[in-house]
Amino acid sequence: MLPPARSAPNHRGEECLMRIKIETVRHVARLANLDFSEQELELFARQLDSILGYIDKLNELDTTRTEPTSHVTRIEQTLREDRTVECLSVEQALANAPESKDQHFTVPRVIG
Amino acid sequence: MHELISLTGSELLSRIRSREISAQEATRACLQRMSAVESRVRAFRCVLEAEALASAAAVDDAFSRGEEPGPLAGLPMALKDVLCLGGHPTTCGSRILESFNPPYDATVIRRLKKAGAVILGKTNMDEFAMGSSTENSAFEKTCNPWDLERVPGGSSGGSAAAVAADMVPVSLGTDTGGSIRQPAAFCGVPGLKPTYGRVSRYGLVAFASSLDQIGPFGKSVEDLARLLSVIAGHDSQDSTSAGAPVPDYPAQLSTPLRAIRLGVPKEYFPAGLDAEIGGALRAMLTRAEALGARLEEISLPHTDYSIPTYYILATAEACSNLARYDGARYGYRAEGAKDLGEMYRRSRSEGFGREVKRRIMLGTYVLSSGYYDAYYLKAQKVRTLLKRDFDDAFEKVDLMITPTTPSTAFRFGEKTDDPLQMYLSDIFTATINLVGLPALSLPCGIAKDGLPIGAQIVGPPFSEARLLSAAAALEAELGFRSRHRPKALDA
Repeated sequence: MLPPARSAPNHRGEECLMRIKIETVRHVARLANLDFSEQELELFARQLDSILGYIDKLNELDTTRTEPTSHVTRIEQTLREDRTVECLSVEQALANAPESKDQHFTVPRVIG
Repeated sequence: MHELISLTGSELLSRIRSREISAQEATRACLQRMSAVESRVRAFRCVLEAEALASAAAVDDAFSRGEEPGPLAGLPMALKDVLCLGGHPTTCGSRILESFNPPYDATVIRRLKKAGAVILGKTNMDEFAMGSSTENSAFEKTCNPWDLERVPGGSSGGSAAAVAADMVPVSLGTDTGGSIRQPAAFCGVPGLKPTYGRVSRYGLVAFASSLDQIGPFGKSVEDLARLLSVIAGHDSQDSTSAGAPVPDYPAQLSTPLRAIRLGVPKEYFPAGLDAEIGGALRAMLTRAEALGARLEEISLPHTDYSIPTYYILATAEACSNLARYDGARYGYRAEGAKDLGEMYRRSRSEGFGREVKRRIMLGTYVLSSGYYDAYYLKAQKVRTLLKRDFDDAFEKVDLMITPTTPSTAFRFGEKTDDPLQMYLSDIFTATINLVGLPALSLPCGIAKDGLPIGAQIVGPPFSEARLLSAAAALEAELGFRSRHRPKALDA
């Protein structure tokens, strides 16, 4: 859970979200499984701040009575018959693996 | 210059079909052109010379045996390197997939092969299709054949430049926020983004699944129609692909423009619009009127909100789609990690480029606990308002015309330090993906500096036949291809 978004008045005196802080960038990087140097974190904080500043424009719109859209076309339920079809062999599925052993993907130990 | 390489895809197809030339001659002409200019354009990630010559020979054999090799028999073409071609590297312009060889063909590729097309190679692109200049490719910069100091646009920059440079007559790209239409405009070739769901996305490496769509580049609108007829249609491997019947697009191309109601959305012609782009568009609208179209000014009131909405939804979908690159099953793995977590973080940090990381970060942020409602849900609601704008407008008009881009092709490095400026180059195209409509870019004029200008034509869902026939009428009226061609490669 991120620290709660703090509110501050924007130029029109309305409430809007405070933009990104470096601790938040560090936290988001952890969520995204990405490592950054301190300089990269600062650069990203600045750039994300400017992008988010632009995105805040959406708060000008009243959407309290608007339904969200996740897909623009009608998605019908598409079920197929429950029968086996041809699929990749184990060898094909493993062919791109950086490491594999005995028909399995191999990874470093899970608990550090 | 070899005469064959200056033909459109459709012209080449009819010469092959009449056996005036062989499919192998067509393929060899393209390969020869590649060896002359590719080192200056750098449109390709890989060239499949032996395979291409073999499939061209198979087409020639089929004709000699009296068999029917398919509607695209012998047509040489290129594919954006985001489409899985079985047994060949599919890099998506990324280090993280540098060594990835897909074990299967994308549905579009399967259909193209079955139709007799000859695949000459895979083209360069912005990493994971994120970018508007192809500068985000981890491997090379592709140059614009009209001016080698300038970008070809992106993210399908390689596919657009390969056609503009006469290395192939047609190619496939993908479009999530303008990635076919913007490079088509920058490179002076026609390019089509079909309706969301018109073309199967199976085997297209996902960027933003509710926005991505595959589409063709060609030398003429007829080329686009021929390719779309082959790649469109329902696919059981993609549950979002539409079941709507696929019309015979080439057969319907000659529908006249007469009595078509053309909408001109005022928000796409703002006061600050580049004067030459505005001028070229107005000249084209006058020609459309002379052909019998009725022009109507319309309004899409939420236009200003489309880029912020796009960059929330596209990055949210991207961060989720790109979570699969973890170094475990395919792609790059960092060496010597102590545990699984370190392997994930290091593989991703070393494998992804800067723009991809920036978008993963933005997407993770807008989806994270405490921010989801303020950003992601808000953007989904604004998407509803944008869709309503277009639904209302298409009550009054049949098609719309807008500029494709706010500028002509820019110089290398001009926008790389300012991601927001780069994002704004999609300002006229990204909304169309949010509302899932078909749109094409048609070259409509040349700026004083010799660079092409594109006009975007937009239609209601599944109106590709009407869109293509209107574009063909305007193309014939404007005669762009007979009057202008890139000269940067003549030397």
